[in-house]
Amino acid sequence: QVFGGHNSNAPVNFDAGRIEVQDRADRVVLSGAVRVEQAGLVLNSARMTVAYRNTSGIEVDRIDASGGVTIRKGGDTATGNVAIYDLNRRLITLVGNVTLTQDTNRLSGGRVIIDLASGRSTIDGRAAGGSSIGTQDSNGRVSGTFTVPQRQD
Amino acid sequence: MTTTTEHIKTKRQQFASPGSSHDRNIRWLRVLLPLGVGALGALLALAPFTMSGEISFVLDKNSVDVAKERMRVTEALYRGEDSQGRPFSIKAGSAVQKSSQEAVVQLKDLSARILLNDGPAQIRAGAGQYDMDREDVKVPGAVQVESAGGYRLTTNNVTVDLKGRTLKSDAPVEGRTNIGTFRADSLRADMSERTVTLDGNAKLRIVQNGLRGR
Repeated sequence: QVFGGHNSNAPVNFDAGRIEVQDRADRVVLSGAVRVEQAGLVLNSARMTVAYRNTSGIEVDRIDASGGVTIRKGGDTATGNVAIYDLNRRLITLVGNVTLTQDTNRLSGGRVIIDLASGRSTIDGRAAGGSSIGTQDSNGRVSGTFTVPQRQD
Repeated sequence: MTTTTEHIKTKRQQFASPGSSHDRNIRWLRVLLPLGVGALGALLALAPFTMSGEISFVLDKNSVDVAKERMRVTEALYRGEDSQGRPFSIKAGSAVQKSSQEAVVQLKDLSARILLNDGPAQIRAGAGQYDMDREDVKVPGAVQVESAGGYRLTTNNVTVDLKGRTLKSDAPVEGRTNIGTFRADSLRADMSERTVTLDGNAKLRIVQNGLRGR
């Protein structure tokens, strides 16, 4: 259970060295130590592109973050090279020597898909579609360390 | 009998004889009258310059009410063309040009209309300084841009470049576009391309309308 029960409709706050709103292309390009925060979920990266729809109101569809991504919410942290946050399906896909840490449990692999609704994350060794985008992947292996709480009885 | 009458001249003859009082008068007058004429001539010749005050009706330059500014216009309308030759116009409640050297006009509650690719746009501001040479308007206070294509931008202390259809500001600004509110250390917005570039710890907050399924 990582990053569970996240509300993707909450307001999104961006904080960056430089923000360029391209209204015609319905896109926002951010660069320079970008930090985006939504309802407790914080995503840091070097560059970020936000695609939104301008129907009756504003709805952010997708956030692509690249250049060393760290995602934090509560005690859980996930890092990777590239992250794609699909707000409609409430999925975060992290690609490129991904590590997933929850309190003491650590998981690392090529790619992780975090489902923000249920909090279930599936991690697998393959980098995105097998094309290694500069990931020193542990040849597709998934490794993880889990600590089991001591039984007190 | 003639000698005695010789002696008793009539008063008139006495008056007319040489050395009489008439002669004395004439002797004095002979001297005084020309002097009087000379003095009077001098007086009249010098009168306009020396005599100031009540009889002078020359308009005194520094006591009249001088208008401070060179031109004051109410309901001003300026027209010009932007770099692509499309007309723009600036309407102002009042326009004051301080002096003729600098072609800068202080405008009050101005609204400019420019033509963009997707239709006309209106820029409204409470006050601004319109530089006629550079054709840009410096707006210290709030400025609001609304374009037909639904592009909204509200921000403050920017320079609106009507020729290039951009807004520039080097001082910290905050404001809102149609997608959210922002603040930044400097701003550059291109109205025809409809882009807003924020530099220097920029912040943007997008409030989603939440119609998406939970």
